[in-house]
Amino acid sequence: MKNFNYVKAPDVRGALAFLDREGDKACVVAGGTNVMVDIRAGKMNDLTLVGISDIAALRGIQEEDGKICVGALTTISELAASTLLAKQAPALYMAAKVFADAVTRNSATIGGNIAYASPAADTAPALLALKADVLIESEGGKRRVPIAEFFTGVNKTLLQAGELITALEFIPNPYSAFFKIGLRNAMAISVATAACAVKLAANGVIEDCAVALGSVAPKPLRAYEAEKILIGRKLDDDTVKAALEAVGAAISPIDDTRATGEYRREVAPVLVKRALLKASGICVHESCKDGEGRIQHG
Amino acid sequence: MSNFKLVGNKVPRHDAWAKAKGEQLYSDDYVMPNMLYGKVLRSKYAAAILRKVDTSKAKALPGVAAVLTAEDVPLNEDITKFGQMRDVGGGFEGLYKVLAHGKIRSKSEPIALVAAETEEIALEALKLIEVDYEVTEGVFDPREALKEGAYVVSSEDQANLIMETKVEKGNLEAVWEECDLIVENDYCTSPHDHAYLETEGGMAWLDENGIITLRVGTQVLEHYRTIAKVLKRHHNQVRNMSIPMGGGFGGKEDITVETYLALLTVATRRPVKMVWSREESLEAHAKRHPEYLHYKTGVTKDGKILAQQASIVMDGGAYTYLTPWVQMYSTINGTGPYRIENQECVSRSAFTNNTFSSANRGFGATQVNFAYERQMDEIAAKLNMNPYELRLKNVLKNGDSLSTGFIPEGHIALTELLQALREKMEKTPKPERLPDGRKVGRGIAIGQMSYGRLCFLHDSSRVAIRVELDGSVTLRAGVPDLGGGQASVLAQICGEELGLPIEDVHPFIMDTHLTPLAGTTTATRQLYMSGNACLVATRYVKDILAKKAATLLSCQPHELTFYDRKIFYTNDPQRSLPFVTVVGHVSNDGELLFHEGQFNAPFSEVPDLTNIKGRILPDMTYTAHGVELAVDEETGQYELLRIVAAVDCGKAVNRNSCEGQMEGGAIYNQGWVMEDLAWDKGITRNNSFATYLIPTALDAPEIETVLLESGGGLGPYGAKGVGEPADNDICPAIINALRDAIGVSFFNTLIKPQDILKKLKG
Repeated sequence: MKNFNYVKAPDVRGALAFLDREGDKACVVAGGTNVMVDIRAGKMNDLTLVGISDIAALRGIQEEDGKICVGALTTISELAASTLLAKQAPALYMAAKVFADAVTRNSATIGGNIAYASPAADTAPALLALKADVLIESEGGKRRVPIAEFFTGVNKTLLQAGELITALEFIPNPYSAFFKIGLRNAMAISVATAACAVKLAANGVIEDCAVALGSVAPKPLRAYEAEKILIGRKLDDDTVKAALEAVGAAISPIDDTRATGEYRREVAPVLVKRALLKASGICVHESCKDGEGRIQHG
Repeated sequence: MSNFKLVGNKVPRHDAWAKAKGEQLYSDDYVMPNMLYGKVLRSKYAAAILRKVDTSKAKALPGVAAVLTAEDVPLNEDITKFGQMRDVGGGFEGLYKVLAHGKIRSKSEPIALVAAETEEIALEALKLIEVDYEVTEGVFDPREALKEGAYVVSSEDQANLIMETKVEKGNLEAVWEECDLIVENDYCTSPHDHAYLETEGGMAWLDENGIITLRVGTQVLEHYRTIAKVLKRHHNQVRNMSIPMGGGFGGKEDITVETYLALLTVATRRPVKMVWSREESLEAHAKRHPEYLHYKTGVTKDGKILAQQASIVMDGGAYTYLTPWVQMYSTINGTGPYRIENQECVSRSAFTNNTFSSANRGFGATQVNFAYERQMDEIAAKLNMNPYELRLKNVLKNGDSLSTGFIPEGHIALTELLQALREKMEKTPKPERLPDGRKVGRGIAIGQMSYGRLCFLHDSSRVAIRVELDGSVTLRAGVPDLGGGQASVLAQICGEELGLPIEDVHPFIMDTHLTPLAGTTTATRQLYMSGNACLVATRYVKDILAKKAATLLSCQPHELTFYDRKIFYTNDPQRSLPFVTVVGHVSNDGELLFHEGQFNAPFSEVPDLTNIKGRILPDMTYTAHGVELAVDEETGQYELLRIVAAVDCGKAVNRNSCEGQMEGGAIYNQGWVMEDLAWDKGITRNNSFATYLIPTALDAPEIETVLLESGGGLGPYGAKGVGEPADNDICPAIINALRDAIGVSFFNTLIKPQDILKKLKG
């Protein structure tokens, strides 16, 4: 199993130097909840792991200048314990609450969840709905990528060799929500997820919105056509129905050991509907009220 | 019976604190100086012919101490034994092959063993072993395997049929016409892993006398005889110790690491440790038999069952192991705990190229429990009859005979259990929906499962008691402790009899050189068998003490009570002596306060398998379970809201352990509905706990346990065993509750939300 090197970065500058030096051979490791599993399975070989878990500057949730900035090393447990997120970004809070299990949440980080780019990453749809930016640094400088452009495929992102995710940044939106279907209530990789964020005018017309889904395509994605249908209209039955049809057109779910593509196609719109209603403050489903994005298990 | 100090109470187990504080050591916690790590090379293919194994490159790798193949095993083929004291014959003992040769029968069949200085080197060496396979087609469905011209799984047997068994009563053919309704259904059960937290493992070394010594997690210490045979040693040249296990559930009943460790330690003359990975455990050890069951039931319009016919095909997988014994349980329990004058159950088991099937909590009784209890609700629905009423009308009562014609000595509490269950379940009226809109359903099921082994195994147990000079007691028994409190309950019984607190009794267990052979911790037998043996041993030394105390207190022995570390004259408690004082007197007399007590189960002979009759098992435990759940009709997900688990345990010797077994069993059986190994032509697709999903704490509902104490069991103080009976009913009750909630029927055990949604969408 020990077919890797390990270096520990003392600070961001040190991490960037290691990443620059090792190039393609480098793999950033924070919580290690994906990396160690892949090494054991023989999927990652002869890499230099750059341990960043001691870099305090990359950890924490801050609200500044009307934006929330979540350090890449912030653990999922910290997201799930954040009263700021519970109020100002419920989608991300709800996703964190149902992420894996308590032990994994204590190790796993938001940056790692995004960088690993699993189609089933639970924080991804929440961050997509919140239209977050991914803040990236390298020896060459800093850049900022909208998360909707960040994912390029299964475990693939725009991140280049030598680059490190330092934070996720977004404008707070109390009108956001996330729901997940897993095959049990903890330690379950998502079968399907959805997150929505809305901005409602006083008359109930949707001024802006974002609809995002996970586990139903090679990468977490936004359902732009559904958003277009919703914007400028009230959240009535016909509008919801039309938007959900557009959701169906946006996704391309596959069969795997967790569920069939057909099932995902059935439930993805249900999750979007519930997330939309919850985000808009219209709660039709009791399970919405506990502030957790889990629908009962099967 | 009302003066019990320990028995019947919630007595903390003697090892509870060690476990709570993490001080208990398990198989992977042990290390020895100069120790090597053992690994197994397993087949890549489910069906193949093993042409050649080249180990030269692996042997040349620095740090490798031994690489062994079938040629290196002194006796590579033996018969499978499971601790029984006699050779049963009659096709019950199949082939046990240590390492592969000839046909490979399943993926993960062991081909070679490696011992190396580190685990990494051992794994590296596995990669260097070159295996030449000729891949063959294989057969993966037992129904296909039994067809003429099917691929033959074994190179030792000519056919795939393992065994055929039949039990019958009355005259079926004559009765069908009298029935108002005939209900016929096909059922199917999925394989099921034991999912213990501790995988198979242990270590072996040669002691200073050259004795092969093992410390492994096993339910069957008596495997030392097989280890000796494989190594061509005398039985007394192998010492087998177990460790308190992190779960067994039948999965550590078959031999696992023992022979591999013994071979490697003899080859290297160094201690060797082997612990299987989770993937290895999920792919290579036994699973619960998948069964394909056809049920035909004839009833009158008022719900009396006149006839029931069941036919079963069992997937035995790659090797025989315990298939014939499991098959006996499926066959004789096939028609359920019902009084049916005309009945028949025919079972056939077959080899396939799947992972082998063997013992799993419930041992064949669980599969038929699913089928007959689903069948009952299908009948109830067709008759528009209440499921309680249908069952109450047909359940066995005292004096009724089982399918084999045997009339149990123990009490049959099914009527009381159903009434108690109904009272709990119907305490509040069932809401149609929850406030969130989910549909609510309730379902019940009842079960019958034995305690004690098959009577033709001639089962026995022994427990030794020695009273020390300070009045404490050393209890010795070869009882493997799986975490079910098997050792602690013996201390409790001994303490109860001698009037001592449980901490005064030290149970020393599971060491074949030092502890009397108590038999396997399987078949829900330890409380029944070793509990009774403990009573025999304890009462023997108690008699000696009572005689002495009677002399000292000037009374008769039967006038004495042992209580609170004292022996006193029952009618005048002032006249008493400290327990330790009487011990001192007996010792002064030169008498040893020691006894090895033995208890024998009822013995019978192997029955005629074409017409099984008589006492096959000592007695039965009866259960009744209820489930309330809520279904999300938009997603197909369901949530268990509550479980009521009722059992007649005869006597709850340790109330905590009894409730623990009932709760654990309920969740275990709940897991059967969701756990999916995803077998695909002999490959276990879900071979980790990330994909093989067992229920977590967040999936377990509130469980209400009802312990009925009829006193009508064959164990100590009238107790019955509950370990396996606890793993009945929940799976069919869940599926019956789904039917109640959303009106759709399922005929297989594995149900995912997608299956529910599909049925709902029509």
